[in-house]
Amino acid sequence: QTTFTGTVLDENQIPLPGASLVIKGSSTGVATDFDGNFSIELPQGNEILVVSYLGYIPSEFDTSGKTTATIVLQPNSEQLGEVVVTALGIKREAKKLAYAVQKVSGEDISKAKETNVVNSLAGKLAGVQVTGGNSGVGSSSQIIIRGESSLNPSPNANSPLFVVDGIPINNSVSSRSNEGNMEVDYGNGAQDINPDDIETMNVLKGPSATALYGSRGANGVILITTKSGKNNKGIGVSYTNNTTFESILTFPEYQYEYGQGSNGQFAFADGGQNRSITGGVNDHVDESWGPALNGQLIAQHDSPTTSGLRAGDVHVRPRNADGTFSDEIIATPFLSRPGNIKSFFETGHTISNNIALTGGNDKGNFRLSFTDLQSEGIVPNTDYNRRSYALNGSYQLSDWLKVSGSMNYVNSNSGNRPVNSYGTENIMYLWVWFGQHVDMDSLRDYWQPGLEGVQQYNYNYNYHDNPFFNVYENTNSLDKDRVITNMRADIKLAKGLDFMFRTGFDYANELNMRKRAYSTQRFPKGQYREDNIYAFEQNTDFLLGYNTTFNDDFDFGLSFGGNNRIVKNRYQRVSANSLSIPGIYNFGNAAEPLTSSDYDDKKEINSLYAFANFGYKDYLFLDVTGRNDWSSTLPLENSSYFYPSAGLSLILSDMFTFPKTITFAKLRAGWASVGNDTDPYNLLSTYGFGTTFNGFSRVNSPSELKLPDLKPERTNSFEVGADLRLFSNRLGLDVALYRSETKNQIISLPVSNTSGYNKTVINAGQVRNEGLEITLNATPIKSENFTWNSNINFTTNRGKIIALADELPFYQIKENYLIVGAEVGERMGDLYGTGFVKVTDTNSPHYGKWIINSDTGLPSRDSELRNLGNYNPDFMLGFQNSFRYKNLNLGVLFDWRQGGVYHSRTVSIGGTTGLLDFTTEGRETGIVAEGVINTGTAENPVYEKNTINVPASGYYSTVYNRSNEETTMYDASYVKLREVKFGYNFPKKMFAQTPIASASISLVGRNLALWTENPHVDPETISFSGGSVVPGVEDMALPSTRSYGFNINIEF
Amino acid sequence: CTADFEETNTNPNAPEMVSANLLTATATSQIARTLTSEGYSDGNTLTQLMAKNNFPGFGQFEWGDQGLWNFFYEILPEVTDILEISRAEETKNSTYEGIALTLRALCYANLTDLYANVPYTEAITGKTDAVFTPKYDDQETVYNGVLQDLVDADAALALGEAITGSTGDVIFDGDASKWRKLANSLRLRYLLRISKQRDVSAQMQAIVSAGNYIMTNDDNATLTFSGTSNTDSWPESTGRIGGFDEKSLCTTGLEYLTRFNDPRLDIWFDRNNNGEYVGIPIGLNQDNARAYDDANSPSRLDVELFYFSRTEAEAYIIKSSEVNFILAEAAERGFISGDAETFYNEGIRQSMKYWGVTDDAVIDAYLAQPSVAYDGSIELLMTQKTLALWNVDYQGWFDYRRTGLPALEAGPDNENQGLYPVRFLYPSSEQTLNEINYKAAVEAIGGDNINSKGWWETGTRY
Repeated sequence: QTTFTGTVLDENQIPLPGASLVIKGSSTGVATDFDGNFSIELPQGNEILVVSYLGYIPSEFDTSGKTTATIVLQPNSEQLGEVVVTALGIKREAKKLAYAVQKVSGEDISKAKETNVVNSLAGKLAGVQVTGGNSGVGSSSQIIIRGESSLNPSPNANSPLFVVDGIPINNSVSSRSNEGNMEVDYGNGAQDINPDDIETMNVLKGPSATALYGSRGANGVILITTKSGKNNKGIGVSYTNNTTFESILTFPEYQYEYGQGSNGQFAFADGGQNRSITGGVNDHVDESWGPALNGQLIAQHDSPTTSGLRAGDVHVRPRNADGTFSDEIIATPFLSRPGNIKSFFETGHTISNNIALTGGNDKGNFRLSFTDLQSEGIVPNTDYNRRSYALNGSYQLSDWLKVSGSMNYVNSNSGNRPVNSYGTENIMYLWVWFGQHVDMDSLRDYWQPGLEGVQQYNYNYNYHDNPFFNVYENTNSLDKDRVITNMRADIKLAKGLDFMFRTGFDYANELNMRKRAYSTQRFPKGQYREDNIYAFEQNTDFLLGYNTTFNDDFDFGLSFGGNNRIVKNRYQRVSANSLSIPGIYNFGNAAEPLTSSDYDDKKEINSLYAFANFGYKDYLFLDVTGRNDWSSTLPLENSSYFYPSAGLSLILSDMFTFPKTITFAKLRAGWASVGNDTDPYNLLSTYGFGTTFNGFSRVNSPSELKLPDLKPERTNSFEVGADLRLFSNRLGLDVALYRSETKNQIISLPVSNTSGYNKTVINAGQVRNEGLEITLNATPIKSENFTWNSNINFTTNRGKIIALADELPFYQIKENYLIVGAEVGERMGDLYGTGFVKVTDTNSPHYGKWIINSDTGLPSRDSELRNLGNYNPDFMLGFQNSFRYKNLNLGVLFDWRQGGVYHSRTVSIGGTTGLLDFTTEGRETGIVAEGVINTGTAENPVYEKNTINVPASGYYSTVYNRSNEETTMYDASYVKLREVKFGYNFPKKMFAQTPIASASISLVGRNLALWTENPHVDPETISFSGGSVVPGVEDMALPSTRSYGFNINIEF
Repeated sequence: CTADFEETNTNPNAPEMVSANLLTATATSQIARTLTSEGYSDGNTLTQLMAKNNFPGFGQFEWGDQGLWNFFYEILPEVTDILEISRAEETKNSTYEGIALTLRALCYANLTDLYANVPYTEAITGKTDAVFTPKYDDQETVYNGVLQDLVDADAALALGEAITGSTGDVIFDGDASKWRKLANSLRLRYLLRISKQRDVSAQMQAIVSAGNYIMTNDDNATLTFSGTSNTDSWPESTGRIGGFDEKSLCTTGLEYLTRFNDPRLDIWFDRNNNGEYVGIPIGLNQDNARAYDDANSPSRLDVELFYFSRTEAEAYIIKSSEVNFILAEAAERGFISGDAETFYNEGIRQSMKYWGVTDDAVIDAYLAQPSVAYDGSIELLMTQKTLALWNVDYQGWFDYRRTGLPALEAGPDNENQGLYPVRFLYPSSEQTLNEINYKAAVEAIGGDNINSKGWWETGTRY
């Protein structure tokens, strides 16, 4: 036995890290390190090494008589080696595919790590739109591939399918309101996947790529392959630490010149706790139209009283017999406090530690990984923690049988998740209604003395909760256990004939607890609520495959498979909406009958499928697939549906002789038709249970009319593409053009409630998405010490409504202040709302101006709905550059989204209340609204410029009035500096005397800078309404954050 | 492949069929509760017994979608289901039939009174006829149906069929004779309402002669809250104290109550911190209402009765006081025989007693005052009726729209060019979900604005 060492270089003498060297005729092998070096034990001494590297021609090297060598690989002009994972986990050579597959490597996502792995795809892939949520670390993230095709308002309707090691997993979003609570974003299912365990993510975009996944693949598929011990000899240990800090990226620009009040008047007496007795001047008001903050003496909530208490301690201050206070408030300076609101927030942090053990021999391998992630949000007392345990392994039991399996257990938990949307439970609501004289620090001691646990202390008792009380006492916890597992056997039946059997499940059990303390605005006597969510999905499948080559010209593969899928969901909510004893959160402590809601559902789908591929002379490839599903959710007579797909790919560069500059040229075309079923129990209407009333049980009539003879949905798509590589792969261009149409959609159509229903399930609607995706890869510089890689991906998609139901001109998809509506002939994502009456005569020089009411001097709202724009971008562009200089590397990713609009509720409410910076204009002088007054008649208008001066409070509260969304529509375009990575790989020789094999450190940052129109909020926002994600509306979003930190990786 | 699919797809969570009592509990509780809570805040504001000192938009007539459209159309399926069950062979019950017809009439009468033309003949037919965009009917058509439903209800309830088991009826616990009185009282209310358009005297007289209507408080259609949870409590008692404090005595209501030296002032309102009763004008804008509030400290509603207690304040549909005022006006106009003054005095007496003024001598003294004593004036009658309609949905506003009495003026910062509004706006959802019929209705009523008058208020008989 001898040791053979060496270096593997590319044609430019640049080391190739990770190149594989295998002793010919065995499965023993090693991989090169970061510097291209390798060391291998040769059992016999003189053996042949097979050296390979993706994108290079494999080479055989005879070691006879040598102990060391420098092996140079030549690039493979045809990229023959590029293997990607396709539907059902089948690895295929990329060149043979008739559709676009994009790959993201684990390294790409694990350095500048996102806790939610979906976010790390933002800007990296053409055709993929990622929108991060705004509840900080642990928020949901929405991902849409090639545009929204479904008219279904469910947050999951347009989600791609996530598949982990061959097992489909749940990516549903849970955010439930009810019981007087507001919605809390508990995250999307895919965020439980641990980025440290991901080897690759392959994104299959069109139905032609995903036809084999059936209905669920119609929105694209994200195939996640977890890391394994493959290619590892002996024991390998790796340790990774990722530490990042989160700070505020966008924050509303508040004014700090005027305090709480109305008409410039304010004096605290009891904060609106009992006005008729204890009075006060506008201390019940939660707007900032009060006096200027000039340091004048005014009674305030934190002013001391003659009894030695705070003025705001209204429940404990001494009182006279008639209920008035017997102590006096000693007025204190009314001060401006710039940065006051921001001081509520903290710097968040996320610390993730991963340790992984790998090992293997020629028969098998395993990998064991543990990750602990702990994070604290920028909102005090909010957090998100996750522990992931992963084990996978495979073993070649015999020549014909290989077994493998994996088990992932994830616990995610949080003591408190922030609340979304509009209302007292969301702290962002507390700032748009606020008194700008309030010193944030004055609110930190949030109980009234002697009433700890019973009565909060605040500046205003009329509408608000103390923000610290809100985050420390009123919590929304999360505790979720999830197991994703699979077992698989591969059997070689005969030469070319393989059989695979696999079963696996995704099981999740989630408990959300909401606690509300005594004296909470919404729950004066507290609340305790539990939501239990159980989700289970099991998939069992088999695949029989046959591959053969007829002669040198033809190769042929045929496979036949089947899948059984069982999905079960259970939900139970129990709530005590008042408590007998403060601070005890137990249902036994309920002061009134418990309310509850629960459901239980199940569905089953059986499928059979077959596919065939033909290759001719290695330059012409044809794929054909067919699948039939039987779904329990459809009526028996419609429960079976078939869908086919076909794809053709031509390697032109192999068919013809091209100039030398053209390394590779391929054309591809694919067509697919995919069916889809629906949710369980969509065939028959049922009555709903209500709460008891005076002891009588109550039921409600169905509000949704179901459809007993539902038919499956159908998506037909067509895609063409080209892949061109020039100058020895230094420049690559991939273009895809697609069109997909989804028809017969199973939608719950909102109908006029005068019909007796709010919704009716129908088969209708046809949505067409057309788009263009361009990916450009370039390596402008490549030398021994310096490499520059550049990647641009461009996406544009247009979703258009071709048809709705008969005679139905308009369909309301969802609503959150704005209506997301579908109108025949219009785009998907159009937003409808109201605005002010304007001059509509296009010939008038005043066209488009507001018509001012001459009585009030203000514009007036027109209740007729108008199209206020579309939330979808015109195009998206990701621009990624990576540089390597010796051991240093730098990666920079810009994410540009152009076009689209959104409604900002923060600006709307903050304008009405005088809290945002722009409302200071005109406070002293009054304001003349921009617009015209009609001095003529309605039929023959004569417009003259408005000259009526109105008080600032009246102006802003009318112009920014929340029921008039048009004023606060903003351009959603933005450019984000999405990601910066700066890394250093320590030279190997540093560790020569240590067990360390390699080490690297990176400084990482995400979302470091943002350029956009609206300075107050981040346009990358989604709101929640009725459990559904509503794009195009920013609804009291938490500030978006930037994160920065470091990543350390050590391999042993 | 589909062997057990049918069983898998059978919903285990909810029933496809239910019994009438479960639906009746929903319909009776929600209708009574909603009508009263609407009357409490907005109905009382439109009759100017109450005004807001904060967020006064409603009193400025800055109106958008008001919730009642959705409420009625979303409770009508329950009412329609009760009717269907009560007429089905195996579950036949004439008392449930009468209850359902009465409630249906009540819902549609309110709808047309609030909105003018509304979907009626084609409404709630999604299930039976797959109509999802019902046409709107004019007010006269709706009224014909409402009155016929009440006639049918009277006939069904006259049978007096018993309900076995839990009735689900939170108002009369299934007492057919009391429901019959309610149906006939509502008929009197709606006949009088259309009396500018039609001669209703024979029908009204027939009801009075038969005597099956609510004459005393014992027969009132009231709902007493049990207060076990927020749901079955007086609605205001579960809200914010700040929200409660936003409602004040209105200067107009204060004038009525002081003119009559009325004991109900002290029952409904609290004195302010200076120990006085002070009103706030309706229709001030936000800044002005707050400034007025700071300067004058208007009286708020009685906190013990309307906020602290979950059970003391009741919900109701119609009470004996209103019925007596209806008869007083009918007698005064000669629609029925009888003495208007007697009915007028009885209306006041029933109202006083309902609100806890039980001493007849006190009531007699009240009635004897020159400002109260009946003088044949419809204005006086309607002013007293307005007080008796405290919290009774929007009935006071409908009477004002029909009679113009007592005269009401828009407030100083009103947003309706000084006009007193006469209808609610259609909900904006109809623009998107029932566009064609919505547009036709808007055309028919002369515009979807708050000043388009309905059919019964444009009659010319008086």
